Amino acid sequence: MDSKYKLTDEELISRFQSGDEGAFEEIVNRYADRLLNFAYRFVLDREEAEDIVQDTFLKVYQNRHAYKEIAKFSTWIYTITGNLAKTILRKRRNRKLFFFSRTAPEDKDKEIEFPSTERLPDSQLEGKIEEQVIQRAIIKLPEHFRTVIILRDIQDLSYEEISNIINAPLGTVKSRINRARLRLQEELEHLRE
Amino acid sequence: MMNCYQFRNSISNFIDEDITFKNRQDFKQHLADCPACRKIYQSVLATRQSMRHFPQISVTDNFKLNLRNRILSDRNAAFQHNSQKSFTLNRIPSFAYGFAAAIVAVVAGIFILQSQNATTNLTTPPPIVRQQMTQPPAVQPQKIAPANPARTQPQQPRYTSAGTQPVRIDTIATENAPKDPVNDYQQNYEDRIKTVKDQR
Repeated sequence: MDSKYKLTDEELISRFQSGDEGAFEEIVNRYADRLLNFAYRFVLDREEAEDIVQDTFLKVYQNRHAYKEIAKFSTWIYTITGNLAKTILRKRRNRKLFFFSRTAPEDKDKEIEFPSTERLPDSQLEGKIEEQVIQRAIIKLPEHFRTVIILRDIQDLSYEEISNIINAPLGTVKSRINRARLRLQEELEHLRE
Repeated sequence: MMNCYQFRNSISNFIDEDITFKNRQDFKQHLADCPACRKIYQSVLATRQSMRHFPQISVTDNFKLNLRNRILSDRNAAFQHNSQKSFTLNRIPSFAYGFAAAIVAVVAGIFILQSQNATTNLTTPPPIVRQQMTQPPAVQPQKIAPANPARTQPQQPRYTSAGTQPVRIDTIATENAPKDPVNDYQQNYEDRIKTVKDQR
């Protein structure tokens, strides 16, 4: 198992394609938490985020031979997770539209539920509140801004990787990240007022 | 010098250190001169710092177990699907489908032909033949014969010396001779043409 830690992601998927199930387990170990954080910041629901990550690994398992070593494995797996997260959001939006007439106006704020911060020390409380405010602002961003800002500022991926994940030119990614950051400031200003 | 618009467009490039030396100098200059842009820049930087320190969440303990179960059930479903396929359709070679279709087509063709024969009465001729039999043969005149000058004059009846009553020979001939519809038609046609010419 130790030798597997030295292997690159691409080598692991190659082994898995050759029938090594242990390599798949190693991929799960490497990516489960990273993908969970990405999905969670996207949909802001832990259960749904975990379902998304499970679906992602299931897809990797089923379509292991679809991966060709022309792109990095990380971009491939992030693309799958991002697409699944977008599908969840779309379903949620459709559900919301369907039940729009039945939902009371005051229910709108209940859709994002954050964990309680009552018993936290002051410094942590401040950080938690800040996190919640920023997360609320991220959720308000359009989907294409949200994706790039999570990948860049939370997941700390490079411009090139983001470019491959969202399948957009590097210049587009750079300008989109800049606009997303500025837009996030606007949303934060609204929330802090 | 950099204006506010250029400054705001360059914030990410500056933060991510993806900026030329000249632009970096201009950016720093504008940052020092413009309080509004400075506020935005500091806010972007602070938000980015906060996001980098967001608490990381981890998958639950039973995540791997659930995943393994899902993979197993998926694999079983795929195996069942494949085995069903292999017991029914995969065993039959593909050319057999074409062969079977050809046989069905031949049998159906024979059946249709037989049923058509059964419905038609063999003692009576087919409807097209019957129609041709009842209708006079429509023979188109090949070419219009020039008007016979002899026919322009009323023909003098010729009489036989056999009886007292004058009998026209041509009448006898026509009465005794079998009627030829083709000749009748041609005669009528020529007469009509002649009439038209006379009218002119």
